Amino acid sequence: MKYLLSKVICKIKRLDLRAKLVVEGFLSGLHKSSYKGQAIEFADYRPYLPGDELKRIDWKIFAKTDKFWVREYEEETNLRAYLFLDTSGSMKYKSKEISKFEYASFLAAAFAYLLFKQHDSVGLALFNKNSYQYLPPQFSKSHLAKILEIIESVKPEGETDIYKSLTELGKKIKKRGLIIIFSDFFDKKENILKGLKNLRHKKNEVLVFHILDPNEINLNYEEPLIFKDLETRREIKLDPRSIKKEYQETLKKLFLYYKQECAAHYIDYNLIFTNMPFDYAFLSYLAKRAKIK
Amino acid sequence: MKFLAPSFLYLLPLAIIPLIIHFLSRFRLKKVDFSSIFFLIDLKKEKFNFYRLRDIFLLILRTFFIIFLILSISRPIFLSEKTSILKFLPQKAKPIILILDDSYSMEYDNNFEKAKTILKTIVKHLNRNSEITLFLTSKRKIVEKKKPVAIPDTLIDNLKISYKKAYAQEILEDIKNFNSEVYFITDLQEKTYFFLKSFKSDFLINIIDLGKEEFENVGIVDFHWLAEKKGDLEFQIEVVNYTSQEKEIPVNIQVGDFKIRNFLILPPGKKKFQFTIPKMRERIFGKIYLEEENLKKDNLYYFVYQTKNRMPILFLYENEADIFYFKKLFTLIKDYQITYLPLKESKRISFSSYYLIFLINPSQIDQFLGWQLENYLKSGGKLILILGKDLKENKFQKIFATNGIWEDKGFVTIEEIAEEHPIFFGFKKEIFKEPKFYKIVNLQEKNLKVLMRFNNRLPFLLEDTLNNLMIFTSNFTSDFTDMPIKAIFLPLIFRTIEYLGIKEKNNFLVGETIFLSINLPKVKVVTPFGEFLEETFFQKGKRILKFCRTEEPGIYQIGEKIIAVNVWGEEGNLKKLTLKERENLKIIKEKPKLISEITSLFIFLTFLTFLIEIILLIF
Repeated sequence: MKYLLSKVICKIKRLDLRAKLVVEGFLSGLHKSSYKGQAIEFADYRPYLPGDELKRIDWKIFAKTDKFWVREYEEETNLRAYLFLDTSGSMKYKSKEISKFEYASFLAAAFAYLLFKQHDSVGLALFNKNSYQYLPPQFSKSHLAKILEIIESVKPEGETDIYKSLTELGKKIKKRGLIIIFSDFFDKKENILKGLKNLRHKKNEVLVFHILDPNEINLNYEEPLIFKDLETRREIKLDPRSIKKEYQETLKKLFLYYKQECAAHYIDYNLIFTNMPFDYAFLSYLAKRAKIK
Repeated sequence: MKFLAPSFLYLLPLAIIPLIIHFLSRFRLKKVDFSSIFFLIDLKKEKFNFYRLRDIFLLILRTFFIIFLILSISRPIFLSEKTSILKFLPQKAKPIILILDDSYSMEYDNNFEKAKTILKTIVKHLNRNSEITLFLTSKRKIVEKKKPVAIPDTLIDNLKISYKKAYAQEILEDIKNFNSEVYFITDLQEKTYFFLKSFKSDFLINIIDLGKEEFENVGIVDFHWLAEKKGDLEFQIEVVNYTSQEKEIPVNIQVGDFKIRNFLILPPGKKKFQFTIPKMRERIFGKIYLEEENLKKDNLYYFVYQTKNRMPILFLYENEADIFYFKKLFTLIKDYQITYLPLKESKRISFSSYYLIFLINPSQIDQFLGWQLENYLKSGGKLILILGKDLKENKFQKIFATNGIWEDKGFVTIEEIAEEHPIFFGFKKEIFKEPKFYKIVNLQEKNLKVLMRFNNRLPFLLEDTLNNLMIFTSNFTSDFTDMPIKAIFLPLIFRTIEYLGIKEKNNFLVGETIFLSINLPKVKVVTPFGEFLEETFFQKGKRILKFCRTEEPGIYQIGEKIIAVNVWGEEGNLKKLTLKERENLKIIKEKPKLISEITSLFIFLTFLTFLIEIILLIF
């Protein structure tokens, strides 16, 4: 179970391994693995590689071309999942070992792996104010690898415009499914809600992981400081001790607002701190998955 | 507020360290990345910065913490005229040293009575736990480590003026290493308290200065018998008129039934007067006094004159030629009992039976002779040394050493004489210039007083007042000088003998201890304040009387011996230390302020600031 702790996971360099460890750790904790794919569709050919099962060689192609080609299949699943990962600059913030983005990317990777293991197709969307990257959902090992590769390569930067990003990504989703959003939601709360509602409006199931660093709510600073905004690069001189209480109150109200508004629109809202173990997020997901079934 | 250890106050600039740190940290704020300052901006506008206020308060506390800490180690004291303030301050029992100047100069303007009133006020106002030690400058410790209640007013009222010399310097030197509060009530006379100009002490001496800048007084500061032995006795007194105006003051001389009254015209400053009294007996005693009202004791001088009948004198010589002129001389003067003895035979005789020894032209003063002479001088003997040889190595090296023989083609004459000295009184200076000196012993002066000097600046006659030793640097033979054939030779030798002869210690200061060799187990001592029967003790085979109670001026009769005891004349000089000289002293005018050390208050404040800071940091 130690692989469910963010501080342990962040020590492992390879994302695929991290995802595997997180998921296996989680699943071994649950003691069950009852998710199975329902049907298999042909997807593509690829050259034969030593170790491939002989039954997967297309002998007709071999007869025509005198070369071994192996058939690849896309597993048909009962769920399409979309992982929306916020890549804005604010996600870089970290007070200890792990940044919000690292935490979110581990979680996203772990979800991708989990969904793959459950024979669900997984898509990925990375977004910030100015750009987004979208990978439609598929079920294949190579797709999973691609998702992990993209997550690993991306670096958080730029500002946030959640409404704009969610709206544009929403347009890309042709078939309804489960949208899992990982973000710190540093934007106007009304815009965030509007964006989420849009996704929900299209009959998608929406699971929100509001990821924050513990220090973002605790504001544990003991001296006047200059705070530099990671997105806008703006600076402000401030004695954090003087506003700490009011700041915490504001954030608590905000979380409550999100929670209530999301609940009103059947959106699952989860506030997660980067010092929390990953299984908290998985349990939320399983609860959601159960509802979908 | 004053400080007992003010040198620590140099650390006070350290108090600005918190300020420097504060301002440096304000100008160099740490920059931190934060995910979004969106909420911070809004809250900053709304919020009054309590923490900034707290930081300023902490800064003030830290500054005060350092200030209080430094003040604590600097040992602050609080001076107040009111006891009511002192009661509220934390106090601990602290040694208090009170010094009262009881010298007779304090009689002027009723200062001693004023001083006693001040002393009573101080004692009354001191903390009741204080330990008081009371000294009089005559070195009497009246009270030692007693609480104020143990010092009743009557004890202070009964204190009397002492005619002893003030020992304030010794007292202050003795106590200066103790951590104590000192109150010193005095008239700050320049002559007595000159040492205060440079007196360094770790503690504060509170001087309650009763002295007057302007004063009127006349006093006798010196007395000499003039060494002439023809008929009447002559003496000289030195009188000082301390005022700025000429005064005419009656003077009285009383010797037994013999009384004379005269008038002295005294210009401002010092003046010497000579008086003649008939030589009625071999031993006479009496007093001279000025009729003046201010300070009476310095107007009075007691004197004793005692001649030795046929004074025994020993001449020690190596060459017969060296005593040729002396032998001639003493055929003319029959007053002395003269013995001539070759130096080599000196070991077989006791020097103590001679009142005076002439040691003439010795080629060396060896260990034995040196030891003999040393003992002789210690026991009160007098020595006249006439040099004719280079005595580089001699037993008296601490007193003198020779530096070869001066010899030239020409000659030297005496040029300088100490005219003040009684030997030269009444002589014309020119008469000393007549003798020629062809050879002289070059003498290193060391601690000797030069009475006569040649025109080449080398000394001729020197005196060691402490040891009753006089040295002539020229032998009285024709190859050295023609002095023996000049008119001055006889009176000079005669006066030198008489000077040393009457120099027998029969004059003491009040407070001095008298040691006398008296061959009796008990001696009756008659003093102006009563009669005592004193026991003698043995010392080196002799019976010695030690008499310490010379408490008042007057004529003291100890057995058969008469002693005059006088006050120290300079005490009558009421001139104070100048304003500049008093600069270093902590002088309290009129009302004495009382000291309370408030170190504990500052320690408390230091602790309090520290505690408040801790509380503020925790909450």
